[in-house]
Amino acid sequence: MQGLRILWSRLRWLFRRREMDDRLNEEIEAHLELAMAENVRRGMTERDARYAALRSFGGVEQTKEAHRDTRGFAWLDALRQDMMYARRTLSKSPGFVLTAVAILSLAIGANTALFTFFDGYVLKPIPIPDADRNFELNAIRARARGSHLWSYADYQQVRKSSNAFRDLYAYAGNDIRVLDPEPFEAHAVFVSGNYFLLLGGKTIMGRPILPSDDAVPGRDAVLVLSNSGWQRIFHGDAFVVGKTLRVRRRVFTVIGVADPEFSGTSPVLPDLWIPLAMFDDVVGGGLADQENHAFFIGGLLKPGVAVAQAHDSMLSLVQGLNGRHPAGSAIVDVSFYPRATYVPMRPDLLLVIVPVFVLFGLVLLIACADLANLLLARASARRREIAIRLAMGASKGRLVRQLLTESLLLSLAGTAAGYAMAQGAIHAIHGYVFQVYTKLGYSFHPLTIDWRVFAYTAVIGIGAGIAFGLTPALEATSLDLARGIKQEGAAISLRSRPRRITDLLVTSQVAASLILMVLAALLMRNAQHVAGIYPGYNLDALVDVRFDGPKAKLIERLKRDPRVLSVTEVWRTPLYGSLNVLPGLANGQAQPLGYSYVDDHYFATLEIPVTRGRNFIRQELTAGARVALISEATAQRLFGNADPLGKVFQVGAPNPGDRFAAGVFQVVGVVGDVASGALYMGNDSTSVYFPAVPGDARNFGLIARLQAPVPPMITELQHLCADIDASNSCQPRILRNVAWMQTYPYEIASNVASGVGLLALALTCIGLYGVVAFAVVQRTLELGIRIALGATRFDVLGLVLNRSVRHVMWGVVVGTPLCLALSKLTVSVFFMLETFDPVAYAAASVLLIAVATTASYLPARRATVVEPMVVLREE
Amino acid sequence: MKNSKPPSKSDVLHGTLALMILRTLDGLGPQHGWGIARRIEQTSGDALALNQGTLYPALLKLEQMGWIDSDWGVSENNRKARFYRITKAGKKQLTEEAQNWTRISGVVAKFL
Repeated sequence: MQGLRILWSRLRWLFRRREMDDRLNEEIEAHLELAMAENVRRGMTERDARYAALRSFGGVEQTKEAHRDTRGFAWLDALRQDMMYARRTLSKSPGFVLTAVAILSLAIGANTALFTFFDGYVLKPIPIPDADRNFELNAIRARARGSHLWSYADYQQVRKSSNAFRDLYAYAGNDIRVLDPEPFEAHAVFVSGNYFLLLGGKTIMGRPILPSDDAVPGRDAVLVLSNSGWQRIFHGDAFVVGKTLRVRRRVFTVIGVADPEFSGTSPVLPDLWIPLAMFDDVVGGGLADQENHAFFIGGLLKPGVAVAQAHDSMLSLVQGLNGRHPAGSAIVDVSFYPRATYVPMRPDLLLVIVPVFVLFGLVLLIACADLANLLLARASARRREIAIRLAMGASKGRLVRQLLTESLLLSLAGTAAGYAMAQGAIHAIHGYVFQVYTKLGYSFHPLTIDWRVFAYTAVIGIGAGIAFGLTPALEATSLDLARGIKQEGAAISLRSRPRRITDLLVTSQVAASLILMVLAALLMRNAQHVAGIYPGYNLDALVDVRFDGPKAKLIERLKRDPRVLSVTEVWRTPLYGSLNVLPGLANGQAQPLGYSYVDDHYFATLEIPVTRGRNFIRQELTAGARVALISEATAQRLFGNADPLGKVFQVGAPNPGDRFAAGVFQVVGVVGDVASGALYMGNDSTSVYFPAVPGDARNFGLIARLQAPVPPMITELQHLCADIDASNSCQPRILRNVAWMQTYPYEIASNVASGVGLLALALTCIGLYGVVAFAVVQRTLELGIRIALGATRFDVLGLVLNRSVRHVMWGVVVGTPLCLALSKLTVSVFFMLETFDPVAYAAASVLLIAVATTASYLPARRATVVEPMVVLREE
Repeated sequence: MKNSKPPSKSDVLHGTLALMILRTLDGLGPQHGWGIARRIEQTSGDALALNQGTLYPALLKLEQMGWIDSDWGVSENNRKARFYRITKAGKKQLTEEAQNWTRISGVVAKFL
């Protein structure tokens, strides 16, 4: 009750400030007059009476201040004053404000952008109801490297029997060829009938897919367009519902357009959704095949059911199904993959995320150091003003608060600018980082800035404001009053010691930027290295003709075209993941063997030299002869230096889908080594080529070597495919672009790191420039005297430069071991191949020293034009 | 800007100023700031180092608590001055505080 009353009266008085001030003034005046009157009565002169009255009253101003404090919300009042004062002071130096805001906005913008990514993928729940109960199920199979996905029969069984989930949905993504209204390669997701209902998928037109659409295989040829499919296929036609699309022999009716917010459980937006029951009509035999592990299963846990509990019941359920599976694909465990956000927060993810945040945080720290230095310089220019305020009775705490208000105001402006920058650029950055997908026509659920990002930005902004503002504020207010007032401007500098804090800040800035620059250099070298790897075949001349239609016809047509130099059929095209492996045995030694099936044109097409023995002959292919070609590295491993030709080796249990039984193969030839898996791992350690029967449906790959220029041929190839069979997907890719899918993460990491490194370098240089420029101004008198006493201009320049160069050097000395330690930690984050690369270290250090020295030299030149007479006369 | 004080005078013990003000107003009836200050000094036999200015924040505080009330009036020398008077709640508070103070000073006295 009492508290409420005080609050009320304080609130009342808060808005009657002027009135309360007047009242107090009046009271004090009356008080003094009454006191004076009494003193006069006692026989003092008027003058003495007034002084005596004032003396016994104590400090009038202090009383007013205390009165205001009691009145309540003094801090609010003080804040208002501080804000106004800060605004006034800052508006007097627009150049300083602009520099400070620019520095801060860059650093805060970069950090906000980073956090927006983190938020969008890791923190923000995916836009479905009860996202925290959404789990995807992974089947862990007996055979290593087996698929984690499920067969359709598995899904139906699991869905029917599971009682831990409210319901389970299934989906599979496939690229399909749309024929009408115009040919289009569409990204389709086949979904179970309950998918939209369970995940809360709304439509902006028509209706979503319903369980009844998925009831009978092949019956309901319907589809729902995504926003991107609607735009890309129907160009945003407002009357699209009811229109049709032709895919293969089926004509699909558009039943709805999904809400742009809805993208299922993935951030990648497909063009359209089709009921799973139509899978076989579009993609081809899959639903009935028990071994077709092509389907994702997910579901929403029932409220109150714990994951462990659900896991146990799911595991026993799934093990009951194992009788239907061959031994290799038996399911030994089920893992629950949380799908509350696009990327679940896990310890291993933190290992990746934390270093990245630390590195971006370094940029912010550099910016803070810049601002601290700028403010320190300003503070010492304001020494006299502060000394006077202290002398007039301002408390130190109040002054610190005032100076902090100034820095907070700056950081507020910087934060706002940085936030705006991040918001403006995030879409472009997002597109850039995921360009490998956007170039393939995928669109993404847009990253939006939400309250988390806002809160994060506000926190780092305020944190930065305090971080860079506190030290200068404390430093500025701790001074010897008498000296502060008496001594003027430059004269102080003669006696003031070089600033320890400034030196420390500069050194740490340099160290921090060195870390970022070395990292950038390492990643750049890394990317260069990976991009420069020669896999053993010409990436620019080879095209992976991804055609689902009749290949024999296409090969025939290709062979007739003079621009097509060579064509080969192969089980799997290189560069789509590492080679499958078989257990091998030669000379009594076990040896895992990477392998592929190729026809007799493979080596000629890829221009891989047959160094010993011979290529396959046609009869060997068609007869399925037990002969093989092996790479040189394989020959070395299996047979050492002995001549491998005619030698035999054994292969053990084949993988499902293999074309032979375990047994003996004879080596007929040796070919050059190539890199066909992950490029950065270099040449395949083993590679065995088995004969592929021409025309075999399992020859999934078709590779052609074309005459330059290759890129214009791509469209022609597509036309050629369409000519043969327009209903099938045909997406030729130059192998260079396939390789790019592997190299682009390096490229992106390198470019992002370079951007961050350059930002750090720029911020450090701005800081150095400011520090040196200020030092020159501060030491003008000293420099003038030195010149008057005979120092040459060169001496003076050296004097000024010496200090900053020394700190740059120190920064490099301190930064290098930190780099060594940090780069080891970040190996896993940036797919780093080599962490100690002397060239990267040397290049980064030299660049840093050179640029930093230049940044100090520019303002230092001003020291050489100091005119001693002018300076001395001014004093 | 600290005031040095003559050693013979004692500082006003924390929390006792309010009690003195309330007692003064209770005894003298409505009074302006100067009057209260004089009265406290006189009562203490000029043994207290009262910075008269500190009275005003204290008065404000008491007013916020609802123990005193204030209004404009005219002083002895015909000047406009603010007069304070004790309220009912203030009298109750005064009784409580006085009892409290007597108890404490009694305890302290036993130690001396």
